[in-house]
Amino acid sequence: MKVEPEPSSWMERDKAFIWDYPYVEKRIMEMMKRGESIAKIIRELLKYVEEG
Amino acid sequence: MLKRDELILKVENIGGIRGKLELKIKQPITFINAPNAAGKSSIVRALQLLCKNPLNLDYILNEYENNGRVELIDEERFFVEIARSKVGIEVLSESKLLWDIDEKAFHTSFCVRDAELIKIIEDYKPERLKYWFRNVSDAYYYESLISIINTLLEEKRGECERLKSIIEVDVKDREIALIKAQKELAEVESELADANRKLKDLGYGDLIKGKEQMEKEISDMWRKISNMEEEKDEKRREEINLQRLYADLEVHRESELNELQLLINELKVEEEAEKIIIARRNDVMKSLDPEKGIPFMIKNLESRLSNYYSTLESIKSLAEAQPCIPVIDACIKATKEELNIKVSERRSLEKELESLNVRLEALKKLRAKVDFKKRSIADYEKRMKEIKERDLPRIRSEIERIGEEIVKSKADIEGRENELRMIIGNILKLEGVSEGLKKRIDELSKKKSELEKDIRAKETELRRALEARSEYERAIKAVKWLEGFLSHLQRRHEYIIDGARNELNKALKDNFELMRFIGLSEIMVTPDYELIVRRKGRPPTKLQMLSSSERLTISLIMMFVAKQAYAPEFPLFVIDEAKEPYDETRFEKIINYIRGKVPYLLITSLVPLKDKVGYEAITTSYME
Repeated sequence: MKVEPEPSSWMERDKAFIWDYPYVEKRIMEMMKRGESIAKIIRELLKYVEEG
Repeated sequence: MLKRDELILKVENIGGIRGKLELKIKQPITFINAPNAAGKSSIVRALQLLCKNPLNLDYILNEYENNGRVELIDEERFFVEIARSKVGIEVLSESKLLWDIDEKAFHTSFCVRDAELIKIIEDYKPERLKYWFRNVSDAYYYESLISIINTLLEEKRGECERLKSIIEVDVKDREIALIKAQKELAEVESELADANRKLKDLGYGDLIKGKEQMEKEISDMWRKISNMEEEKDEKRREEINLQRLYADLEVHRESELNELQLLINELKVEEEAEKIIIARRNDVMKSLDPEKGIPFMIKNLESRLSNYYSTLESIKSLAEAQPCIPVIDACIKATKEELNIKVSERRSLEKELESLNVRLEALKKLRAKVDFKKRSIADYEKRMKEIKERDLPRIRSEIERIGEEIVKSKADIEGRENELRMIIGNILKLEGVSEGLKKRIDELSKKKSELEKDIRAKETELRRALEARSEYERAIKAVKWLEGFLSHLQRRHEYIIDGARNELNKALKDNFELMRFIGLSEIMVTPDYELIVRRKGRPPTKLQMLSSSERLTISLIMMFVAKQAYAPEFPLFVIDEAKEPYDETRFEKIINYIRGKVPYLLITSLVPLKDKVGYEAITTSYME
């Protein structure tokens, strides 16, 4: 069984890549396909953007 | 990833294949040839099962068997094992899936008769075509994401606008208002200081202070007098107690004196008899002297009596001495009588001596009693003397001193009260003048307090407005990020949809030209996913008007182009029983178009029934 990471763990780890849109796109697509709530995730991402 | 130029496929109890079948799939083209019902399509389904098994498993397992397995081997082994259970057919175990793009591979790499796209093209349902296209391309995810980003962007832009209005208008206004209020406060404080100074210059405050000080001093002095009065009363109580004690002592002394007199009289009588008692005692003691007195006589008499008895005993047996015996008996009798008299006399003297000693002892005690009484009376007199000559005069002197102090303090108070009356008089004179100033000071103090409160509120508002500036900067960052991401996603979406669609249209056009389908001037998928087919000089044609080979070509080309666009890593493209509608030349052309663009092209082909039946009739051939 593949263990999925917590939704925000990669964001916390990869804050530096937040402006790397292809990277963020790839991650978000993976999450969407897993059926996770994207609006909530993007709001979390925006927090990192605002703090950064 | 697969690295060699051939794959081994093992199929067991899948679809029409009952038992184990092993095939080699080689690059670039592998043909699977078999008559009807040998299991060609089962091989295709077995490969589909390796793509995340989205198939209905109920129709996958051979109907006579309970377990089935598909295995694809290159340098690694990929497998899926299924089994029949009470609830239906289930996956027992599986290796990791072949490719991440498995679902797309499933939808785009198997051009089979019952594939969804072929049905769509044959029935021609534009909405379903759109749905298929968006689903396979992930466009649906991108559109959802773009919609979410747009919503968030609008939200953030609205927030920016709101914060901007606060920063631009409010901060400036509030800063001006705060400066104005601070200036007004400074003016009020200056005026207040001035009024206070004037009031101080009048001396009114000092007078009030002096009055309060004087009142406090007078109050303290009264308190002191009250304490002294209490002390004086206490001393008076002490004096009375001492007087009472003196009287009590006097009574006791009188009583003791009376008792002493009686004892002295008694002692006098006893002392007069004392010489006689002593003389008599000496006589008695002399008579009782063991060497000379009665005890000595008793001893001699006892000795004589003893001699008489021994003589009597010695002569008792002698006949010649018989006449002497009565004489000796008479002597014994006389000696006994004399002895008894002496013993009685001695007892009497001993009793008398005892009585004399008792009397002398009583005299001694009487003397001691007299001495004790005398000492006791002397103690009474000593204490009475102390009270009379020392304690009482001292208490009285203290009472007198306290009384004098009270009088002196009362005189002081009177002086202070006169002074206080003078101060009050002066205060009353100044009060009229200071009243106006005091009223003004009150007004100014009140105004100062209100202004300070107002300034605090304005400072809070300003701080909030400044916080809004920081929030604005953050929101701007978010907007910038969202705009950038949105633009990126829109480009990606455009590439996914239009890029692939353009590629598809080009491939459709190329193939239709290659295949020399007569009379078609245009064939394309529009941005609205309408499939337009136009014959020369005619309006757009319905798809149903096309030949089955034309319709199959459209679906085959669309599948292949979609596979190339969305699942390029999947190494297989399978054409299942699609050869029949084509003539040999056209089929070769389409194969030549596809070969070389995909590593493994797998084509199933119907051949006539020969001697073998079932999957044993399946053969493979390869094209270089």
